[in-house]
Amino acid sequence: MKKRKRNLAVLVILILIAGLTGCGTSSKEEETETTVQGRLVEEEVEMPQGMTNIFAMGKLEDGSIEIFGNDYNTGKNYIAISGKEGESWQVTELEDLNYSYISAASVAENGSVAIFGSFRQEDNSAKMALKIISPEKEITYLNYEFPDTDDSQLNQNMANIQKDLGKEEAETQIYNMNHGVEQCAYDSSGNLFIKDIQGNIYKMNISTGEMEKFCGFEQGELQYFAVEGKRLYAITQKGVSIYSTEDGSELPKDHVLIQMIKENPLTSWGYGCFEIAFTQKDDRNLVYVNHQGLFYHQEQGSISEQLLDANNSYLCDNTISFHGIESVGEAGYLVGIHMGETSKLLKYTYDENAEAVVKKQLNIYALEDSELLRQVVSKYRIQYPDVLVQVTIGMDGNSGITAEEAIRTLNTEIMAGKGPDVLVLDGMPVESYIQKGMLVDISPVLEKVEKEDGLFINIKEVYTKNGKAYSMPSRFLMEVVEGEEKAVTAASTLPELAAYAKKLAQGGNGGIFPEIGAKGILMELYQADSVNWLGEDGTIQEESLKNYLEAARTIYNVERFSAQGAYEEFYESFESVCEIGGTAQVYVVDRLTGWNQIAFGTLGSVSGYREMLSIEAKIGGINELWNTGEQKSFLPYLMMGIVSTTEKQQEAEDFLKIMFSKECGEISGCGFPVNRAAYNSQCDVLLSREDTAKETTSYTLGDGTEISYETLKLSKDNIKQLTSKIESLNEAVITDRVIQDFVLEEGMKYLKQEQSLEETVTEIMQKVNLYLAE
Amino acid sequence: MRITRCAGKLCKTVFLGLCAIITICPLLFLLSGSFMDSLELSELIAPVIQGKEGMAGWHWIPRYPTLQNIIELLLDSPEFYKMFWNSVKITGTILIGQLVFAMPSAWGLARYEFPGKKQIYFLYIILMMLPFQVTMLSEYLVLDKIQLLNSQWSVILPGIFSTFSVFLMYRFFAGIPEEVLEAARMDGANEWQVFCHIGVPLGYAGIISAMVLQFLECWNQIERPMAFLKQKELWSLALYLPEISTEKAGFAMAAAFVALLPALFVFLYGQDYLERGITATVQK
Amino acid sequence: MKSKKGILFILPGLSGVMVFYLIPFLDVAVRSFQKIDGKFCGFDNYQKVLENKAFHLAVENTIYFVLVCLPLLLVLSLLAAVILQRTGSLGKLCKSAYLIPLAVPAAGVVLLWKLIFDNHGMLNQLLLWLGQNTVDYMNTNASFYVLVFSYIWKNLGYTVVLWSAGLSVIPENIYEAAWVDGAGKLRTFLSITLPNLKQTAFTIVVISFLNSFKVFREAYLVAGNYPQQSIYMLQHLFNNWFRELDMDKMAAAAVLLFLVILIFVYMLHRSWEEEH
Repeated sequence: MKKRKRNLAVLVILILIAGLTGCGTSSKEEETETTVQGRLVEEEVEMPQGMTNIFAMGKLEDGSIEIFGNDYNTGKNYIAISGKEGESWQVTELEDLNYSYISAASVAENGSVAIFGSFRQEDNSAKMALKIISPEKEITYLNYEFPDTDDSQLNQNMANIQKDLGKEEAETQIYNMNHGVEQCAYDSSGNLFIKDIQGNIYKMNISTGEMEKFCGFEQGELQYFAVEGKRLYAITQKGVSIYSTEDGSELPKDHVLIQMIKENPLTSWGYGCFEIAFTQKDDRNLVYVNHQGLFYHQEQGSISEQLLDANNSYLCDNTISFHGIESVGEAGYLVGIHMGETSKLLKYTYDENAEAVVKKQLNIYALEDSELLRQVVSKYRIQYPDVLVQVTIGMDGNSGITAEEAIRTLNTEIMAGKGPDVLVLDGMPVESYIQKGMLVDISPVLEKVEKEDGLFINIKEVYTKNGKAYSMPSRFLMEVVEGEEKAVTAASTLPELAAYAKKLAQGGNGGIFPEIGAKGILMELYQADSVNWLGEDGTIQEESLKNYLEAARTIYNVERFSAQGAYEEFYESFESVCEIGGTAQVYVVDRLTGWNQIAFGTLGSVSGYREMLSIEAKIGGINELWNTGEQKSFLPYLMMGIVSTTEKQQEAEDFLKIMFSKECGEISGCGFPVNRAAYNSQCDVLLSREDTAKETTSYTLGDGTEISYETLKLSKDNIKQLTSKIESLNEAVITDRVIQDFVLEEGMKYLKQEQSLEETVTEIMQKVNLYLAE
Repeated sequence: MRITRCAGKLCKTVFLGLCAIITICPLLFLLSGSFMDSLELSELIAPVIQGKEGMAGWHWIPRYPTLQNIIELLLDSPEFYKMFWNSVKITGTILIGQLVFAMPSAWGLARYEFPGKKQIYFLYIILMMLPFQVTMLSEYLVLDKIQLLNSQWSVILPGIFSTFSVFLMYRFFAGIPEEVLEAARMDGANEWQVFCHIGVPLGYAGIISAMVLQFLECWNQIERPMAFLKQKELWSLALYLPEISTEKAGFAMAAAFVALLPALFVFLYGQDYLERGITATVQK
Repeated sequence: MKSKKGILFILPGLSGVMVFYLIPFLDVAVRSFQKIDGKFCGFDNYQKVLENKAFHLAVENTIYFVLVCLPLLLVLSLLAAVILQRTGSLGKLCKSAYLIPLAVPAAGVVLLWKLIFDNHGMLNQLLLWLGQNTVDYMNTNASFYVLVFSYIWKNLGYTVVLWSAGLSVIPENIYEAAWVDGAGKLRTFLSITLPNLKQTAFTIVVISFLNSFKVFREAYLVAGNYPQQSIYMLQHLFNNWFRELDMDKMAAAAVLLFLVILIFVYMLHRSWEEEH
């Protein structure tokens, strides 16, 4: 008994200590708000004379910066060396480099440059090779050979390809396939580290060309690596592994860095530029840059110190990537970024007198992240540098929070007056928000946009009641059906379409519909049909629901005979409208290849429309808006609203103006813009493409035959047709997520024959009525 | 006679055993799932989670046991650590706070007569029964007023003043015979001394059982942290357990299993006290 | 003891309860008489709630659930506790096992439930194997019993332990006296064990009642915000109201709930006091 008590006491004390030491740290956030004088200031500096693109940049022993790059337009190559502060570039033009492309390059501390790429030979053939530019600008080949890997998969590939090609040719192809170099980097002792396509890292002795395997990863796991000083940072989806470049040993895990990568995973990797870049002050002190800002990190340190917040700088733009970062001068940094088609140099210097910014903050809330939203935000940031924009994503994908829970928290915050200023309403209970007076009338903003650029009035009308508009999508998609005239006519009502499909199936001519699985069919049909379901009393009419379900089941059964479920997975994980944006054009291509005879899906871009017409020009067929009743429906996307409790009405309206602006409407992405001028300019771009040679798109089928079609040049008539289709839209599909979820969930069971039609309809009606009764 | 006794005994054993199997099942389930590789797991649960054809099944012993999930969880998931310690911090502080505040409250309610006592007792019972959603918004407003939002205190303080343990300890304190206390008062002890030297030791069982249950409550709470803690770094473990997708199911199960362990230890430790009545202690 | 000193013991705790529970609740009570924009509207909200069909359904289901679960849990757990009385280490092992469900995180429970009760789940597989028709547990009235099962499953161990605590307090010599008098097992149980468990029973009923609200978490995670009709509980409704920002209705319903619980607990308490 006594002993037990003592144990308990120890336990209690342990908990006490743990508890007391921990709770103090929770107020960390407030500390950063104290005003500090002095901060890093961003400025864009000129690229070295003549250079538009950076291939590689590095810091030399004497502290100057060397950049290897070219002029995108003339194709001339340069090496530029700066002074100590990253200024006054000395540019040398390189001749005789003769590459057709460069896959990787790196600058060594002594000033020499390693270039992997495909080089043109004297006999005009191309060869994968490594060229070294010495500090004296002499260019030489360096022969190298990958150490043998006994990869059975590789040999298998080899055998397969050898059948088709000659042995020698096969070998080179295999070699390139397996040992293409994606990235290379020098360490401070002049060894070159190389990442091949397989995702292995090799270490090369630069004087002999001898290579040894440094470390290996599973295929596709390694995304990027950086070598700084004597450390190699290998970045995978799971985090960062750090190796010593001297002996290849792996150093202890750095959890802060791992966490950082997990929170900002690399999503794309281009040639020579990535979404993160590292530089070292010394072995243990690291500085890195990503879309969140500039950070200082001490090896194994418990936190990364933010030197610069990316907000309102170039860094926050998610479309840019980094060539590299190097420290210059006392406390400055030079960052090479890739933006659009060209590179830019940004210099960050410490300005003692710049006051720490205390800015107005604009909070934007969306349930789901989207690339378009991010781009609009960065456009806003650049235009309104004095406003700090904070984007909150309710369901950020890795915390398992459901939409329900996210909305509950959001509602609490709004009710407490601490909510966001701007809402992206996709997936939210918009009607309730409007009824409860949570949203502001945004018609003044819309009017301004309308005056400047024009809006699709018909879309605006849908959201305007009594002259007031509380929400409005900035983009929209529409459901189309495409195929032979008979099919398209039949599709005008669901029962007819089902009957038509049955008849086709008896003919046995292979695939009829796109292979989109049960959920896909329910989804696409819902978008075409649901707009007709609501009776005058606002409830769902049972008859319509029945028709819909029956048609879906027939189509599903017809399709099942041939279905490989090619696109099934695509719909399985469906979350937002945009994930299925532009499905029509995909299925139209399948009509060309003979996979299906009728195509339906969402159409959300002028170019998608062009593809559709191009295929029709080749194999015939017509397309039509797919609506099974009087109403012509569309799917809204990026629905915007301003919260009524906001204190930043002006800023919020400015943001909406940018969201609806021509500039943002022109960004290619999901959906047609509601901005008329943006739509027109999208059309004009395609109309004026006379100069380009005829483009052909071709597909190779499983049996080796090739099918191709010529891209049609759009005529004014074509555009007119499209425009009139858009202008005929007069209702949004039932976007209530709750109802949609009921229908899809129960419909799935019906399609998979787990319950009868009556059961399904009753079940859906019961739930819908319950929902409406609340 | 003998046969009926045997049959009775058999019935009892079957009843108890069946209950035990049903309750212990999830533990084994999480345990075996933690050691399965993703392929095996997805094969087993895909019909349920993804609506694939076929029936779900389970292997109580993994066919291809792997440590991968556990290793990934313990070595490669710093956020798991962070949240684990957050949970320890939050739960620990709440329990200590309860000893300081709830224990005297229960004693005061159980041993003294004063006006309004009954009303307070009822109020406590009802407040502990109200579902959290109901008061969530108002609680949020209060926490906002006293500037506790987005700090772990916003979860800790309501936890400390949870009336559940007052209710539970009340019963145990009320069971202490009045004579024992009177005797102490005769010896010149003041009320505080009576509480510390007689009440606490004799109500030990009640205190421990209240703590054990409170521990579980705090350790597994989801709603409050999610509503009041915006920063992920402050979250507790129950929020970490990721949404179970087929690829990550093994990992999720390993996480759930590890999260369950402390609670299990607390149980095994506290169980003796849980079922010890007051008089049993008094008679010693 | 009659003494105002008791207040001193209560005061620190009480002030905390006021700030974190009572004030929020009073705020809710005030809201129940207001529209969402803060305008006074009398009993309108109450009227709306009482006329609301979803509310009726949820109340019916909740009451039915409590009426089924509470007696079932009490009887089963008392049975187990009595059987386990005076069993040695084996009984202790059993009690430990019964406690495990309480510690399993909700995420684990949900996965397990899906695995067992899904249409393609293991229970249906068993039925198929036995040559029976499968049952869609989560989408028919069977879901109610799944919920009852999970409630019992989760709370059995804890209730058994509380009963055991109550049982162990009953002095052994009373039993001995009864046996000497020649009373049978059933008789001793009815006339000695049961009366002596009264105080314990009050605690257990209140706690079990409280826990019957908590089963919502699993129901919600397994079946979502609009589950099968028979397990649509008050908390589902509260949750959905919260999503749709119907704070006014929710506040009124909360006050009603408060009153109902008040009456329930008061009656319970009265019936206990009277017999004493």
